[in-house]
Amino acid sequence: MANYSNNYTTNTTNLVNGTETYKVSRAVSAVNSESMDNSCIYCGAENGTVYDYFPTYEVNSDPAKKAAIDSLWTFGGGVFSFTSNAKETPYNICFALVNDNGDLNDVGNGSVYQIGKQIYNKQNPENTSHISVLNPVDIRKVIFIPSFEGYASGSPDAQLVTKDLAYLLDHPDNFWITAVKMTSVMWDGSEYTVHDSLTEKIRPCIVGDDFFLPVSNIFSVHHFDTTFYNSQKQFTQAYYGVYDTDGMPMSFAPIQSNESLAYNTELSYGGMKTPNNNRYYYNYNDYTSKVQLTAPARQIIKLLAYCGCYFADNNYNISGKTLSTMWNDEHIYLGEMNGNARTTGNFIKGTDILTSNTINKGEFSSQTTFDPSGGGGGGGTGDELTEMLSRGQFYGSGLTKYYVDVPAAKLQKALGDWDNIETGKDVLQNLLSYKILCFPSTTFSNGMTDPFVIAGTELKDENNNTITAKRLTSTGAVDLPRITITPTFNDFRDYAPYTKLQMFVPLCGWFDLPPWCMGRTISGEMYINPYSGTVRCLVRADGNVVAELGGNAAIDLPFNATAVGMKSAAVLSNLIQTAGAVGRAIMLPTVNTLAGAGSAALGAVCAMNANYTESKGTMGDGSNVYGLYHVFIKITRPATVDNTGNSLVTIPDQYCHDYGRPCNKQLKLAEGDGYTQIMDANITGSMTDREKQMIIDGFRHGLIL
Amino acid sequence: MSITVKTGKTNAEYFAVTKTVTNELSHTVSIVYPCDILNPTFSLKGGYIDANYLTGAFGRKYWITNQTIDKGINYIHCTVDPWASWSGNIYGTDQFVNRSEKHYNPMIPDDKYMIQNKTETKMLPTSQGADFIGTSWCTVMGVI
Repeated sequence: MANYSNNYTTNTTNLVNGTETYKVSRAVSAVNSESMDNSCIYCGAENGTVYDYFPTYEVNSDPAKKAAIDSLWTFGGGVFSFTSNAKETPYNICFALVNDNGDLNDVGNGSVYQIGKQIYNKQNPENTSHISVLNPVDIRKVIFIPSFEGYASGSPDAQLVTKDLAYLLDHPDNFWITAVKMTSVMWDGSEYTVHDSLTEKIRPCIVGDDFFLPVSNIFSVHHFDTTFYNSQKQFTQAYYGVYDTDGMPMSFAPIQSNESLAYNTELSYGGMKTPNNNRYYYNYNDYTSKVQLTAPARQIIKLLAYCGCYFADNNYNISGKTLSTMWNDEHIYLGEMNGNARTTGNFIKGTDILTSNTINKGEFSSQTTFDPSGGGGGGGTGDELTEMLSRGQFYGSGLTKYYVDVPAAKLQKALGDWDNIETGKDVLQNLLSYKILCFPSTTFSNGMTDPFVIAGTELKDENNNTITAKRLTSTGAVDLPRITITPTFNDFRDYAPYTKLQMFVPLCGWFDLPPWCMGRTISGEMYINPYSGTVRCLVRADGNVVAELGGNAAIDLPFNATAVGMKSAAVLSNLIQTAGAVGRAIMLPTVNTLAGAGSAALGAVCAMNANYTESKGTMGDGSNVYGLYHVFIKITRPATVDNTGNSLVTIPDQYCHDYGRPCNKQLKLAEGDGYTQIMDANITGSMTDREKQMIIDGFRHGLIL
Repeated sequence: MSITVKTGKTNAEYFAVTKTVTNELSHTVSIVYPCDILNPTFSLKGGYIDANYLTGAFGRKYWITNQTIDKGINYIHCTVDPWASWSGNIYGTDQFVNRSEKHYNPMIPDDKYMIQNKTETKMLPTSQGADFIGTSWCTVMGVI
């Protein structure tokens, strides 16, 4: 259990920008009248998480220390470090700062610190700032791009130009926003130099209880063009009230995900209209009269909380003033964070905290006994982590995506520890179905590859490599092998009822081929629905459809997607083991993985006995998968040899001469036709009647022409 | 009444329309009356004639069915060969032929041709029915 009392450590971390490091003093002595709670400094982040990089600005009135921290805010300079010894906490909170006077709600008109929306430069639209998200950002990444402009009081509508200075750094948790001094352009096109521009290096969620914005020689400060970008649909929509400058509550629409949020929230300078080197804080007032409201101002807090990681003390006082507890502040939202210091996207209203039975309100980092991973505490009913996670929810269903060729072993690895899944959810709830198909993935994938994602999280295997899976977007098709059924007798004996043709199609079973398939090339296509495993097979003879068959190529692996509370590792382990067993059962002799089973042994098994008694019809879901994988044409015909071994394939010529063979044609009788039988010959001539009859009778018998 | 006929030998089948006659010899024979032109008898002085076929009488062709020799007279008994005699009325005519030695349709079932009861079953070579599935597998996951 951490004891934060008089705990001061320094950790120097080189930032991407080079030599800059950041540090924060957490010693009580470094804080002016700051209670030793450190709650306002940073969250319960542990070393190695993103929150290690969150600076805190526990400035104080100690000139020396203040000066040291002041230097942080000099553009390009400053050294500070950050350390984190706090225990993990399930909460993170973003809350407003107060100034040294402890004023929280003091806002005023006129010169205010305002985080306004991006204002386009009508004169030079090309100079309008544009923020581009260079890379997909996860829920913990927020681009916080403040630029502080100075403008003359009374001209809040000045259209100012900011620079596009936001960029993401390589480290996903380590990005740096910079604003620079700039030249402003009035709406009428005239230029004027801002008195000064605040330049600062701001980390996301730089919320602390004291936020020092060094300004100098500036009459007033507007904080313009701060935009939050959140690329993930991860957060729960929150509704909250915001007060305008008159203290009137306002309602706002819920935050929409995946959009850049322009907001306007005043950076209120508590009680002081003239900026100075004192502390400033972000307030949550919406200064609608100044700028067009585009988004709830609370979005700042929300998003800051979203990626921020602080937890609040139940009370803190600055300058001897005890502020109202954040727990009871309806304008304050707590963002949930799991045990790994990762936000879940859920928010809890401050006033709800008090009445919540599942939030551990009783323990705070100021308490030496604080242990957010433990149970108990004031109001907590158990392990906070479990409690928090149990109340988690998916960000939204959306459309189910199907992926093929998810290596089972890698998946097991990735999902083995469900706590690593950032949403903190039972990942099995993300799984809609899990099947193995007896087809290669190339049947379906057409070369497409999408990262395999569950709950918005790209899964990685044990080597931290993204699990590559191909996104399924279409059914698959394979061609049946082409088989030509060669006649044996080349006469009526090749057809029904003398000869019977049957065909076996894997997954579909046996069916009778029509007699006219004799002598034709049998081909076809098998269409496989990878989502259900349903197979439809078209069998063709010389291109003409002969039969349409059905079957199933999938083996459903049993898993219970609602197995909430079960460790997915255990379930998935069982699932994979089952699949493996199934795979082994199908693919002999042994199969170690689900994919890539060889068929050599299977081919030996599949050599079909000619006397195989065919099974009729399909046998239900996936059971035909246990069948054979060859296409067979089975021909049942008259014997081709007699009992003495003589061939019976060809009808003897002598038979033809003695008996002829069915003709049924109208012919012009010609010499050399050989045996000719005519049942009712039409003979004319001067022969006697008796001769005519003899000829007719002769034809009935058959005459040799 | 005397007529000149030819006798000869033929190996043709009885039901053959065209008959090749060899060793033909001409004879002057007398018609024995009463005469049935379908079954005539001719007389000839002399002995046995080595022939089975006679042509030239009554415009017909005849099988020599028997020879009766008495007191130096050979009585040749004949029966008409109607299809050979009237081959000209047979060849070239259009007829609906039921069975034919040369012009048959092999696909018409021939009920005269007796097929033994025994059948055999044959599988087309598995090299043709090669595995087209089951050589490799894939897993499909549906993910929300």
